[in-house]
Amino acid sequence: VRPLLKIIAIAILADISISTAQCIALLSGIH
Amino acid sequence: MNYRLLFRLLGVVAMLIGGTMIFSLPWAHPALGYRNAQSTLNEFERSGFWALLVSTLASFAVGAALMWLGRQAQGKLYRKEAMAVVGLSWIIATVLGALPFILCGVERSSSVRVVENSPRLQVFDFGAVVWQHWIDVAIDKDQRAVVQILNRAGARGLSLEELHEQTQLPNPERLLEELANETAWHDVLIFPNTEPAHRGRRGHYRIRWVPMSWIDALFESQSGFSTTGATVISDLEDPVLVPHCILFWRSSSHFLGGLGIIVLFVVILGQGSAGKAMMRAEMPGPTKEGGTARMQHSAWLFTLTYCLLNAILAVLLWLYGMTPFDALCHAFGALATGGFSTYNASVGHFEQVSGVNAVAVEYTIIVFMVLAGTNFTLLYLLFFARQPRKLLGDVEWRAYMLILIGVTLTVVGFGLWHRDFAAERDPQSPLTWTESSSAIRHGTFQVVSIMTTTGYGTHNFDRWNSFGRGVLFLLMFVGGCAGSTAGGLKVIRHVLFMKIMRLEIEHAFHPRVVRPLWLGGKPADDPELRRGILVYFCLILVIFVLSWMAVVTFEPDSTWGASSEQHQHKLIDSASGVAATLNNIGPGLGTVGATENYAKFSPLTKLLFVWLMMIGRLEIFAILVLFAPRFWRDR
Repeated sequence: VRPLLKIIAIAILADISISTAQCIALLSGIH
Repeated sequence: MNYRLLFRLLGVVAMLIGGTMIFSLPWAHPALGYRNAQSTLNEFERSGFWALLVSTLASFAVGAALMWLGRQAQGKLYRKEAMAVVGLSWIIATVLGALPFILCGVERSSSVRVVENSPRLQVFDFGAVVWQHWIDVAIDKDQRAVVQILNRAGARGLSLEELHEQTQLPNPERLLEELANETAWHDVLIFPNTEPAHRGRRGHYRIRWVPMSWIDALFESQSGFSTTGATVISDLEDPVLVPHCILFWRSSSHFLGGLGIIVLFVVILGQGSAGKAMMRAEMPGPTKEGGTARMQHSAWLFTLTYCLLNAILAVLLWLYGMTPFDALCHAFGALATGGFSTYNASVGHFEQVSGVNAVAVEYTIIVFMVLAGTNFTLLYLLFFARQPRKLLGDVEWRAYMLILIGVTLTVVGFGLWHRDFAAERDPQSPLTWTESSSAIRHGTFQVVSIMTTTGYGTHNFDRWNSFGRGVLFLLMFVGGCAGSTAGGLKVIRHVLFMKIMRLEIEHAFHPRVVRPLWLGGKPADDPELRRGILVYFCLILVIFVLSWMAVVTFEPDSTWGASSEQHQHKLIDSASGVAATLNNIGPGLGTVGATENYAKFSPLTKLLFVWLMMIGRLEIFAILVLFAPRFWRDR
């Protein structure tokens, strides 16, 4: 189960990072 | 029974409710009460403001009257008085909290329901009071098309030009006029310039919306104070139907309810050996002082922890791009494990709003929902006494996390397998990053939201596979940890129940062996505790089954729609509705599911739900004792 939890944790972090990057891009007018 | 003391304490509760209502007043001003550009009317919400002001004054008047009755109260607060205060204060809070909804004239739902794949429509019966609520009517194809388009436009309605443009029919207004001649439609359709109300909408063709009755208002208020989050309001985004200040009051009632339950828990359930075993962790507070002082100290510490967590979440949500109004309302809903949102699509709404970091919002709310479902004693020890080991080593918290993680993994796994999170359910299409990331996010959110009895939604779980929905239904009965704001049966009761069952099974074949009940490495054997757990499970089962049967018997089939195919959902939907209100969750399955609400039910069923929310929240006894005559007679 541990490797699975690690993969999920990485996926969650990636999900949050992508969304944050999109938000920053939108707010700074790049997008 | 020390009535004077009882009156005085109830007076304080009424004053507190009035005091909290004051904080909702400023949100009537457009400078504060805004959500996003589209929904803002930029007008001072006069009706909401006056409704709240009158309710505030009424609460203060009731409070003052009760305190006058309880003047010169003497004596100590015994268990009996404490129980009476808890039960009665919940009733007073519900009644006073319902006032703003009635006085403001909040409108709850459209009076027309469109039945899928059928030439029939359902029209609200404005004449009936208790029984039949929806009348099936057959209409022709063109009329149906016009009514359907008008209904989709919401309470705003459509101008003549918009009606022509959207229906693509030569003269839709004639069709509506013909319909209005029929009895069933007479009260339902509103023609331009016939009624004065509704700002800027006088010139529109509209469908009448049903105003909240006093039963609806009681339901909404009870749902708020019991931190359930079930609603009867279909459109939260139209400020003409529900002003922002009233929405803020609706969410404030969660805040008060959550605070009430953690503080009352200390006073009521923390007493007695069974209560102590359930609380387990040492109560924070100076140990050398007397019981009352320590209890008061703990109550203050819990209040502080609760308010701080609310503030932290609100600030985080605001930083992610939410407006202060939304951030505060959603923080109240999450920490109280309530679930009232300010949008029809609940938290899922923010995925459509540009400028809001929706993914971060959802994950942050997940973390705070988990915290809200944790025993507040442990949270206090974690944050203020810096003792994380107490939290990590706690039996109940470990079981709680184990269930959360285990169920999340299975639900996400099965969901991916059944392609529940794909835009289109095609088993042949390849698994994309968007689908898998949304599966993890929505799956976790929904499991946490249901298990902690919050009831926020980001995904329509009614579209999930049967296994996923079944698991969510079972989770409703689990709930969070004891001493948290979560409802349900609580994890510790399940842990103890399993242990007791194991001992009982062994007792069947080894009748002479006596084994103690162990909990977290300590003996927790106490006949009172064993009996308490078993009685509680039995009571929940009896109440659930009887209420389920009552809904199935007394609720008209037409609530589920006009076709016999839809009536088949009645049995399972009623069960989920009862489970969702008894365990203080909010959304259930089917007709009370993630995208639905409780507006369609008949007043009788709504009253039953109000009752269920109350006994579920106060763990049954605090309410049931109020109905025992001896409780009031004896000293």
